[in-house]
Amino acid sequence: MDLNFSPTEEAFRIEIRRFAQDELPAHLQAKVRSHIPLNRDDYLQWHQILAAKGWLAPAWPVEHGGCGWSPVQIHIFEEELDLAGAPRIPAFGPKMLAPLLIAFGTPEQKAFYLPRILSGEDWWCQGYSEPGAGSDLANLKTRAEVHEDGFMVNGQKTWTTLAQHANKMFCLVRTDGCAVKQKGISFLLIDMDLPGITVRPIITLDGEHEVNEVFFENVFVPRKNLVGELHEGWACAKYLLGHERLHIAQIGRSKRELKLLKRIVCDHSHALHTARLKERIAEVEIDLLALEYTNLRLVSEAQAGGEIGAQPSILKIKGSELAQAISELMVEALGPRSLSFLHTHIDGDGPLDTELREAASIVRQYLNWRKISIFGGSNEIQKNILSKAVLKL
Amino acid sequence: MNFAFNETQRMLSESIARYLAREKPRGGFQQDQWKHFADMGLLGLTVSEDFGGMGGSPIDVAAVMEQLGRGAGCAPYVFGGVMASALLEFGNETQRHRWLSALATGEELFACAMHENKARHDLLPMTTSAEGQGPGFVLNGTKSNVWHAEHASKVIIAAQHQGGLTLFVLPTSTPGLQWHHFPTVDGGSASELRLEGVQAGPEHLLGKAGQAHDAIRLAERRATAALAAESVGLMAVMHESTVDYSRQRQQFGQAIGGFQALQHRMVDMLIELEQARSLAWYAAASFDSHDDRVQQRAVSAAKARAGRAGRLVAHEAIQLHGGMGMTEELALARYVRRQLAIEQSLGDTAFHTACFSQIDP
Repeated sequence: MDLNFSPTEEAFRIEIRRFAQDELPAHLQAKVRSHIPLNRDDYLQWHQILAAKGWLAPAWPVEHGGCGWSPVQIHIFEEELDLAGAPRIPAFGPKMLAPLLIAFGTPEQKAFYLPRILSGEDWWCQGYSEPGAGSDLANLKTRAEVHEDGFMVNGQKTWTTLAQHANKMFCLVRTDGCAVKQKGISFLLIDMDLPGITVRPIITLDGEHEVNEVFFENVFVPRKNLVGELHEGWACAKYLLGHERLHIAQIGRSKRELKLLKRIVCDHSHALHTARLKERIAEVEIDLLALEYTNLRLVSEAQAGGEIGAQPSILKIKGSELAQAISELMVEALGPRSLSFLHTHIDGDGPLDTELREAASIVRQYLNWRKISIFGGSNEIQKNILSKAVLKL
Repeated sequence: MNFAFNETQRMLSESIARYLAREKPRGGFQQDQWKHFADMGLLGLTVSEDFGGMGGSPIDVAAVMEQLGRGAGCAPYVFGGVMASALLEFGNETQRHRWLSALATGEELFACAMHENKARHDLLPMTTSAEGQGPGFVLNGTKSNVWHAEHASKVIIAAQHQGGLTLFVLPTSTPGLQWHHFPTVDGGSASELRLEGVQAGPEHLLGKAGQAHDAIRLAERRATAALAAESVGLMAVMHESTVDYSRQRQQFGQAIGGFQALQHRMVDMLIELEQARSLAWYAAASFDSHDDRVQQRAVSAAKARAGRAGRLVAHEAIQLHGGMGMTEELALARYVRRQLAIEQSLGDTAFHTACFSQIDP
């Protein structure tokens, strides 16, 4: 047992840190650190910087543009960028669809879509959830009538993250209405510019426009946009969801937020409450340290070529709980200051002074992060998975 | 980066597991078990090979402790093995040679008298004093929770001498040592010790007078890390037996393990135990850095995390066993009580959380 990083890995960490210092634009870093929502141009700017470096999709096979890094290196890369306050490129294209296309796509699909993901020309969103299909995703009802040359799609998707910026959607649709649930689902690539598609914002309780409803009315999708076999889309969906899960604990982000939390506790210190807060912060910090090493155990196992199984669900559950705990403690530390609230549309203007503005952003972040335990497979579903796969109950 | 046990650690783990499965120890000090541990080389695990030990590391200790935890054997290994051997390292060459080899063979059983009730979990302030008297010393004071002293041949005592911590090794039968033995919650025994005019010759002084502070702290860190690892073994068995029980126990026409609410609670137990395990290993590995603060931070994190996790796992294990969880008959009872004993040894969760927060990384 040797828990040290190798000299090569330490040198790699320094390289990533230096890259962030040199190339991460200050205004983007400031936005991320102050919890100001990023706009389309912000994401694309950082996307281009990473792509220019060849670091947009490090986990892809090298022949498609990946870096050939080890699991430990990828772990270090993700952590260092989070620590630095770099934006997170939406995972839908690079981390979700791309691995699926690489595994199951036709040569034409790979040749067409992968470079466009790398260049940022395509911005993908995920058409999975529906009003009647959340945790029970297989209950989806969006229909795709099978024609010789394509599919006629009718239905509705919901919770579609950043669909307002996306020009493409990968979408689960029901192509066989007679088949039972998981059987009869197909995986389609849909152009968001097609006639019949309407994107409607959903404003969440933090006042942000992050997610959307997407409506399909007689949208025709060409046959070549089917990924995998007809009616075999569920296997694609499962593959996509099971891929690249070693970073869902988001240790780097929580470490960064913890530092901010400590600073806030200092700034808003009060005799009665500070000691109690400090104790709770220590508990969270200890748990985060534990999660860091639980994460490293899995990364190290992946590096050694071992079977990973359902263990990353632990990372998702604990990672989300700790991130939420940190955000809760920040609101507590702010105390009465946490009454201030900003609607996203008046960011940048408004009568609030710096301190109130910071407090407002933190409150908004706390509200926004209630989602982490719900999306990406709710924590309850993650526990079902662990119970079945690990406890074998 | 590699979290796997090496060949030696695997072999040690397996032989302890086999022994405990065969012998099913009841708890507390058992002479035959202690002899067996000596024969296995466990007592001298971290003792240098020059003195008849195995020259093992804190990671070897962690591997062993997890197995001992799985057996809930509560042999006084942590104090009579890990802590005592670490303290005795402070002796001079002759003392190390004499006492470490006696510890390794099991010829002597050492108890450690470091803490006092007034200081609660902390080492300081210490009131037990050693005043110079001729070439030797006279000791006065009290010590609390001296584990397995009832069975020990020697006791290692910490006292203040001219403002510095000092260690003595005395036979437990030395006049002036007044022992009040009591049974401990986990089926073992510990003692309150009153020292009244205890005469110690220069031969009883361990190492240098007044300079033992760092050595005592290091020995405590090693023993605390060992307790965190033992906790992980206890939790693992409490969890496994809960899952097994839930598969067998039928109510409402099905195994209770089929009920989602219970499944989720058992998953929560799993997550707690894995988090505790990660930090137990992290703490064991921290001794590679010879930095006191790095070690202390890691060890405190591990003990605090194991404490929190251990209580949850113990409570949930009882609860999910229903009425059976309340019986003495179930092996679970021994695990729950040992977990409590560990929590209150060498600093509880609150103590170590505070310790941790006071050290900047």
